[in-house]
Amino acid sequence: METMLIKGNEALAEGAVRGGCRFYAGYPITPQSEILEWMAWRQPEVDGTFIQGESEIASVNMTFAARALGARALTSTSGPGFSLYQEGIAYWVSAGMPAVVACVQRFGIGDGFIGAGQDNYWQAVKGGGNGDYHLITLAPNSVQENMDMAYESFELAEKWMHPVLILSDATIGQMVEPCSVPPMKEYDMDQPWACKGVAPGEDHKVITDITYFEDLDEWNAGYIKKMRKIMDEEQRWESIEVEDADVVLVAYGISSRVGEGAVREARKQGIKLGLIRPITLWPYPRKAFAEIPDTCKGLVTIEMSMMGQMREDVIIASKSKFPTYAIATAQRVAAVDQVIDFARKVISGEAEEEEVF
Amino acid sequence: MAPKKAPEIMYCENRFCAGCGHSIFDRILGEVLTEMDIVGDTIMCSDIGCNHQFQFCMNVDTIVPPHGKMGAALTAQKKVRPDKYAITIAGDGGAYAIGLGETMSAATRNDNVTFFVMNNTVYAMTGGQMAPTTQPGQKTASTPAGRLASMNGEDFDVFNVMRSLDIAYLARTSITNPANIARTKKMVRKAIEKQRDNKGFSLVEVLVPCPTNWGLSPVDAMKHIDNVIAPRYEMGEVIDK
Repeated sequence: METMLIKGNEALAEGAVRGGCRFYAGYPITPQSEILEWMAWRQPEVDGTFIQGESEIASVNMTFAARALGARALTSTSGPGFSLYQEGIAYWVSAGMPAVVACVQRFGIGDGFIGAGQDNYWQAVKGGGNGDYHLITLAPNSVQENMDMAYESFELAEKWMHPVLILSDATIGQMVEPCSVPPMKEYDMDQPWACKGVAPGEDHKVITDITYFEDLDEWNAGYIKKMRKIMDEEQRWESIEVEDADVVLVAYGISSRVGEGAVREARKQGIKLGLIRPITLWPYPRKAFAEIPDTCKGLVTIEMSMMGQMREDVIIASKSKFPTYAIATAQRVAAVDQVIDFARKVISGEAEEEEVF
Repeated sequence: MAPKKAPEIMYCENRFCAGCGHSIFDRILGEVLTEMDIVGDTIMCSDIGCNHQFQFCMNVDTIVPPHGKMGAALTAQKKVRPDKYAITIAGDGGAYAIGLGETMSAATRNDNVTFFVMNNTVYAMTGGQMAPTTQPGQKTASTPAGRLASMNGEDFDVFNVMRSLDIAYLARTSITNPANIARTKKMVRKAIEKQRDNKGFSLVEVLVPCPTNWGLSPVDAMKHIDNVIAPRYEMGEVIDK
């Protein structure tokens, strides 16, 4: 397999192209503009379409239109751009459009900052737009995973006819790592569900809120059944030394790499740390929490938010069986020592368990 | 004289109010698509509002993005499937208010897409609130004392903002009588032919009545367009490249 030394954002773009993406629309916003810039030359090279939309609102709806006509379509953004996407993404969901969006998280509220953050978690994982939905949310923690997740994202979205979100962050997006590059996939955009012009004697397709053309109660029941099935079948995670851990760290994305470092270092010091790394944030990998030993003294999220946003999912996943804490590092990436120090306090009983926000 | 049969594309009765102009326009478009033999080569982009109800009575493939975002969606449609016609039936609120940015962006790019904008001077589906096209002094659900330029600005005239653009076709028409219907049909066909010939962006604004929200009978609503609204605007073609 071909290897590239490549930036995370570019790996995400190239992974999507190799996964059959033939449409990209987006609007420049730091720290993800390399995705847009890569697509600007790469899409024409593969006979795809690149559009720099006049806004995020235009871009997300261009992506809807392209996907509705059958093309594997990606868009990407960050921070306030992701907020502007939410209406459009809700339309993708209601129409059952298997489009893919990448959010390369930056820290802050409103305009915020251009550096890394993980404080889009609630917006990304809890819905974001109006109505009952979660996006299938993948959380890469390396350049390789940026590429691999983008590569498989369309098949995952098409499997469920439901949008996929790749929730990356500025650190993963900006770092350069060696990356194995998968082969090009071909995709036939003349899918049975796609709009391609009504054929003689056939009924037209209308790509809209599906319930306009189906019985609402029946559709609702089928949708909930599908969402439950996704919850059951698509949970993904990585567990490191959880089976005998006194403290289990829970972290995704860039923070999970610190978490892994902390587990290795703490074990050298005789401190039994473990790590659960959610790879899907929805469905949240609740199954991973079943293997935590009863003797565990606490679960600690490491996340670049102020409010410890993921902690509430840890409480749900662990059914409140253990005390929970958050190392909420806001705009900074956590340090290994900081994590080990906190874990010591959990073991000694000095750490104070705060209420969730 | 036997009534003219609706083309096959109109597969059931429409859902519009009695006297609504949308149903007349939809029939015109259905006839043009049929006569040009492009029903199967057309992918409509719907707005959200009364206009969107064409999808329940016209057998043509359709996508429905959020309200007003047709300019963006049509642009993508035409790039992804350049062999298909990308056409919208828009409302005046969708095309000129919430979607003005997307409409203008498609026009300034001179994208090869076609807009038909139904101007009935109000947001009709939500109960007749003020639209950009609401007339001076016109009472609506959100301008109970009548539209005032000092409060709400002047009514929007698409010719004023698009006249200088490098686009293929810009026209205004109405459907108030058989002669105007025939004229509108010619403009609809011409606008679609611009797309066929890769000329670029076209927009036809159609003055249509909303008897329900205007509080007028269907006949009086038509007269209101002829006597009050149309005389305030330049009618006909102002760009034809």
